[in-house]
Amino acid sequence: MATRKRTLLKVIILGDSGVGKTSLMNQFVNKKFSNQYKATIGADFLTKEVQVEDRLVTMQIWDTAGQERFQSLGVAFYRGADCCVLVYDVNLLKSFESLSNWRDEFLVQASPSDPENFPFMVLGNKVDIDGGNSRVVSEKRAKTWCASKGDIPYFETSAKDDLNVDVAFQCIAKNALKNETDEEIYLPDTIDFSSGSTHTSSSCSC
Amino acid sequence: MLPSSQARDFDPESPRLNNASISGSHWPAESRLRGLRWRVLLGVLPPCPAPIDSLRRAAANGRRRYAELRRSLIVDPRSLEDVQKSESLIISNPLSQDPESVWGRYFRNAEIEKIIENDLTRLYPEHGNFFQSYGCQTMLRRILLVWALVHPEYGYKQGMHEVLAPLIYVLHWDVTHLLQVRQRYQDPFEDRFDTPHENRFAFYSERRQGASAPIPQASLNVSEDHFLTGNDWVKGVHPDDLLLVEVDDFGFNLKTMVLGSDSYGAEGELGALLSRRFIEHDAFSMFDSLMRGSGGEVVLADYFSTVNEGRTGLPPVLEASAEIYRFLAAMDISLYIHLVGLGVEPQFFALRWLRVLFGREFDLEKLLLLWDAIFSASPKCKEGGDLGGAGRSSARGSFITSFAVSMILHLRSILLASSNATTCLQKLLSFPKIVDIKLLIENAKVLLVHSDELLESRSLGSKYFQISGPNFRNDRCMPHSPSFKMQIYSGRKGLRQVSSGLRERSLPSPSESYWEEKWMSSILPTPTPEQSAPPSGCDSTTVPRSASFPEGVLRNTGPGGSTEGPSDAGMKTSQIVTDTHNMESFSSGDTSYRKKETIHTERNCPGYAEGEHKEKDNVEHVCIHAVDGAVDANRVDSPTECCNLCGTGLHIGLQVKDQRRQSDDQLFVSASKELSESICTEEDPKMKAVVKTFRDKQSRVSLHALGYSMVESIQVLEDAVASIFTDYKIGISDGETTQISRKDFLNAEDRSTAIKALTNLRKISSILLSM
Repeated sequence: MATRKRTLLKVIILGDSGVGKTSLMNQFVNKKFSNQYKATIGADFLTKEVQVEDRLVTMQIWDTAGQERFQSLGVAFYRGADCCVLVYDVNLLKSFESLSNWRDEFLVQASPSDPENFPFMVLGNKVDIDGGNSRVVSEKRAKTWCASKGDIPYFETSAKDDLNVDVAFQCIAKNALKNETDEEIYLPDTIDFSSGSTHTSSSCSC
Repeated sequence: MLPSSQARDFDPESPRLNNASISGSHWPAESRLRGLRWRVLLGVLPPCPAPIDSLRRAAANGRRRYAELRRSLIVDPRSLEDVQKSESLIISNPLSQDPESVWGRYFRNAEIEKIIENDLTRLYPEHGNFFQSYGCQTMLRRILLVWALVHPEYGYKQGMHEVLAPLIYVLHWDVTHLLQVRQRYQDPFEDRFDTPHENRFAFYSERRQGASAPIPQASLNVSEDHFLTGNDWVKGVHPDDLLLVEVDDFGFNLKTMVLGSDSYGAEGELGALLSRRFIEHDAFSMFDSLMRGSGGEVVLADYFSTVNEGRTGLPPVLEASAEIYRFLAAMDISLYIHLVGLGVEPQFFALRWLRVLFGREFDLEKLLLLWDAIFSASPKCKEGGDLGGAGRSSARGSFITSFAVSMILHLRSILLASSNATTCLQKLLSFPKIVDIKLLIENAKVLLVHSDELLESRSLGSKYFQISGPNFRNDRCMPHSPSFKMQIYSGRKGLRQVSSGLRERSLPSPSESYWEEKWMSSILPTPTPEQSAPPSGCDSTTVPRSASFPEGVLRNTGPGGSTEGPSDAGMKTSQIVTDTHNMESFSSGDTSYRKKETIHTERNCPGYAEGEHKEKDNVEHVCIHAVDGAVDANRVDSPTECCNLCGTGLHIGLQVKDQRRQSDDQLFVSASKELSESICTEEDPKMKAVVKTFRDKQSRVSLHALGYSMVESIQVLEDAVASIFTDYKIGISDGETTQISRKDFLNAEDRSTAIKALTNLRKISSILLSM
């Protein structure tokens, strides 16, 4: 089975400082929420096995510092990404306005082969705060922006209440995987040790 | 143990902590007056021995400076004074567009403050009672704001708050300690230290008679007092303070503390060394000094900068990360190649390590011990003059690098056993919490000494190599020089094209990792000995270790052969390797290297080599155990465990076929014979021959190194393949993955192809080894 080649999906979470990137990641991976997360310095990651359709894939989710400006992690960090998750805080206009910057920067750094179709995902986080009364970015506005950027899938989440977190990450995995099979056409001769198979085995269908 | 539990009542405005918190505490030697020590180490206070007056003046000057900055930079347009200062109300109003108007500055400050606030609310939640208290937060915010305003080129960056926080913490504990002492002696307590009267503590001693054991007189014989004459005051000292009676390395004792903190000395209250009122001022001075690297030390603020202003046109933090790998390569080539091969780039983990000076990897208590070591890293380590080179900017910088390597080596066996980048990074990014920080620090120091030895031998080498042309000397023998670093990075660009053709066929992962390219490029220039033999060929060799390994051999032979005589060389080596087991764990990552060195030493100084050989046997003995039994290499808390750790490294080495090892050894024996023979003679004409022989050997040796690490990698791969099959079996039995056909994962054909490929790789490596 040729599609069993790459089981590792690299997902990078970007967004302004304090929008809840670490919390989202931890809620998804560890099913835990804490008010005690420290500001992320540089980058950190967690992994989780997910089942997408009939495939078992490992998601390597990279949580970056909100203040990190791309250069310090080096290009290789972004190049390997299979999906980029942009997070903003629905209660903070500025974090929403930064999304364009984050997306553009990412595309510059990662330089994917097909920037138009690179899988992004936008999460509007912290919808739980004040019962939604303090939100300043409406769902409609966010969706309009997403549509203008090539129909980026959009979810409203709450890491605190575990709202939509699983659904969103499942979708992320699915989209990343879709992109990954495309990539395989371009790089048919790669060896991936993490799956234990070599390029010589790619010809045999198992 | 730090009395962290007592931090709860911290309030910078309150005159003293409550009694309950004071009475129960005790002060371990290492945390006593730590703030004062750090102030000296960071250059905020003059170095010891300094008269109290000059300490007080320095303290007062720093505080004046901060007070001035704070007054001029933090503006409040609503306060009458600031409005009067501004030119007119037409320019200075809330709607003013002029960024320099009071209101403009006010809004700009508010913006920065918001960013700072965002991080401060998340600072050390586990010590929230202290760091989250209103007083502490206000202080942190003001210092960071003022610093960001004074240094707009850096501004405020995430992580700076975690560099500042421990500084405030230690200052706070100094002051608390002083309060505790004051309370013991009652008011007016300064006088008791001032008056040269025999029995001024008599009242106290009497009072204490019943309550506590009599003061052991023997321990009171203080012979020297740098600051004041007369030592009789000691007699009445509270038993808890006895340790403080003697003057420490910094010239501080109880007396300095007390007299330095009264309100009547030089500069009055402003000059009081320990003062609750000036914690904020002092913390700023320390923070400023640390961030800007005063005294030629490493500029910590650079690690936060993303501007490509480093020597190689990269952000300084990337350079510093690369420096860690360079150092690692010099210490443990196989681990280095393993990590680079997997695409584990150093900045992925080192970014955090460096920016907050390891603050995220250890809890506060351990961190303070580590910072003690970092701040007191003495410039003595690079007495070799300019040998330190520009790459290692300072003693502090070198120590930070070597400590990072010490951390990586602590995880050595786990990292080598990891077959993918994810696992390696996982281990590196979640450094074990239970770890002997003192051992790590000691290891870092040993590494530093070891690297200095390498440098020394390089200077010896460069003397020789000068004959063969300036190019060689510049590019090969000074790996710390900027040109060497440039070469690494320019090599990357230059070799990208060459390696890209091969990448798809031979690289383990499709990612365009720079480190992989670097790794590739290290392989490419050395397929034939001819290619790397001429000096220009060496220029393109980008793996530092290929340089440092042969020079590492020189380290053993050089001094012994040419200058000091065989026995000296042995002595020297054994001195460096103060703890042989420890050292083994660092340098014996690669059995063959170790073996070569051993054999080599034997030729030069038989007496010593015998011992060394025995030692070697011991290690092999251990490693046989390591093969037999399960080794928990995760815990390296003692030399024995270090041995285990190296045993795991050897374990892989032992798997190599005996035949291969024999040919390896034979080759090296002949090589080393020639080398040592020629080095032993100091005549100039022969030096050229040495250079030539040496370089021939070197290319062979690097081929060997490559072949060897290939064998190692294959081993890791084989393990990985085996474990993957096991994993899948486990996964299936979990029942979760029942949908996935069992056939998929246990396909025999698949497996045999993989194994066949590995066998082919093994053949290639054996060819490499026999070259």
